[in-house]
Amino acid sequence: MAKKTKTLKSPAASSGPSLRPLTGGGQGAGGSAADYTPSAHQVNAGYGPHFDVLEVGHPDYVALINADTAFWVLSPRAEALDYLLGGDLPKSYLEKEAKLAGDLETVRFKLLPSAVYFNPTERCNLDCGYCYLPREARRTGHDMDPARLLEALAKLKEFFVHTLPEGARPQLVFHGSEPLLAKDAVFQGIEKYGDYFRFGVQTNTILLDQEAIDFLKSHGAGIGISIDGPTAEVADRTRRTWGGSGVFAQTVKVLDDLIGYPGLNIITTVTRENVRSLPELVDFFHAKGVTNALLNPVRGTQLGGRNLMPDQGELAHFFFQALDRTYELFEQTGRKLVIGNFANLLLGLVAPGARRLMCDISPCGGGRCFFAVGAGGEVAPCSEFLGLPEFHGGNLFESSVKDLMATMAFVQVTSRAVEQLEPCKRCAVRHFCGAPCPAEVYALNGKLSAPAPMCDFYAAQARYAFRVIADGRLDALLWDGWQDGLEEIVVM
Amino acid sequence: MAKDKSTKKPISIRYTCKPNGDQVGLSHYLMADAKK
Repeated sequence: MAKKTKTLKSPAASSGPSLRPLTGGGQGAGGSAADYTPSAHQVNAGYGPHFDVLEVGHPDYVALINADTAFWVLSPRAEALDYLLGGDLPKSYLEKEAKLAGDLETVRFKLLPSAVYFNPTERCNLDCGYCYLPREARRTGHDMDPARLLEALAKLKEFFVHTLPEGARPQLVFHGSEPLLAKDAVFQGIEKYGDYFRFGVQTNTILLDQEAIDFLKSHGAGIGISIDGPTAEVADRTRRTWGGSGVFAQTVKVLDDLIGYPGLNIITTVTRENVRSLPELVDFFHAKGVTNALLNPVRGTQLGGRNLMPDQGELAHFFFQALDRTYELFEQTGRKLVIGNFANLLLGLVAPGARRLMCDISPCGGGRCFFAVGAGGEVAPCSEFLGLPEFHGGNLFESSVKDLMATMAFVQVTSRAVEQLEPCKRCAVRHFCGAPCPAEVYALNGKLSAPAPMCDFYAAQARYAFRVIADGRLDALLWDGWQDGLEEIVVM
Repeated sequence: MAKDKSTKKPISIRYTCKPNGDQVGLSHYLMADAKK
């Protein structure tokens, strides 16, 4: 795909009026009208736009970033000061500032809720070390019966029909815990509401037999599976039955059965147990024919996850190596393996309004773009908050969704913005990170007003993303057709 | 790391996207879509 890369004119080659320093130009100490330059035409003072300079670790480029609008220019190193101090960049930027700001404003504050995590049971047949749901509930919790589940879906449909544009199909993902422990209820829901919701099931595959696969495929439902390593030795360190047996072999069998199904989703939770295997995992997935996967760093919302959080430096090293490997494999084979969470960050840089995942933006998507429903009907801003009762807005069967979303439990999450946080408020990449995740932040700090526990990693990831763009690898690490339906903003 | 004026061109890429009501994905799931 042809990449539309806009290039700025070199300041030296600019035909526009050049700006002089206030005391420069041989005007003498007394100054004159010619010394005056409107502040808007210079950076970093008065009404002039503010640009941060960010070292991105590239031999040829540095980034100049207006953090408020997430606008950036990769400038050749030797010319960065010329761009900053010349007149063209601030002038051209200000001409488009409203559009840039509006674009970011929309994705940060104006999206409608359109997706739901729905846990039809508290129970799980696995005891994964990092689960964000409390262990006791997973062992002995209860299920939502079919009638109750259908009642819940009716309430959710009623909400979305009245809030989303006509024709929009909200996404509803049966999640867990293990949703197939409530298979009858789940399948009845899909059967009845399959024409309205875009359904998905995130399953550990233990109960995903051929009949279940056929049912889900015939209803066009997405199927998400979790694989935490390229070998049983790695993957089974974190994903085990209550008795301690690994499930890698079963999961790979299902993966082989589902390859080629367009609704297949794969998640790897990255922990200290598998972080060093990420490059090999990319090879494994690519060899299997996987085209999309998430490599999500584990959240420390619950103690188990907290104990498995990888070292940030190690995470950055192996995560970037894994991304490099996807590029090498693409070059060698012409076949992409898109790492969705990183692709989403790239979109955050080049098309913020087109991003899909809402963890790396603030406010995050929890309670704003999506919410979570637990097996008892409890509603929280995100599934990460289901294990934190103080963030339950109420119960779906007792309150309207609209009222639930207006509760303080939701509002304190939906109003958490990087502009309020230290050190985020002065960080150049604050809108490429979003200071995730509020549930994790709360669990670790006892308050929401703290930066991301993985702050260093997210900053490093933004730098890596700029290097990807500088090296012309953007298209290779994004989905084909990522520009479809988008409108380009040409600043200069 | 300063260099002579290079032949490299500055790069800036930015697109807008109109919200369509169902573009949001879930980080505990992904965004691939099975089409009916």
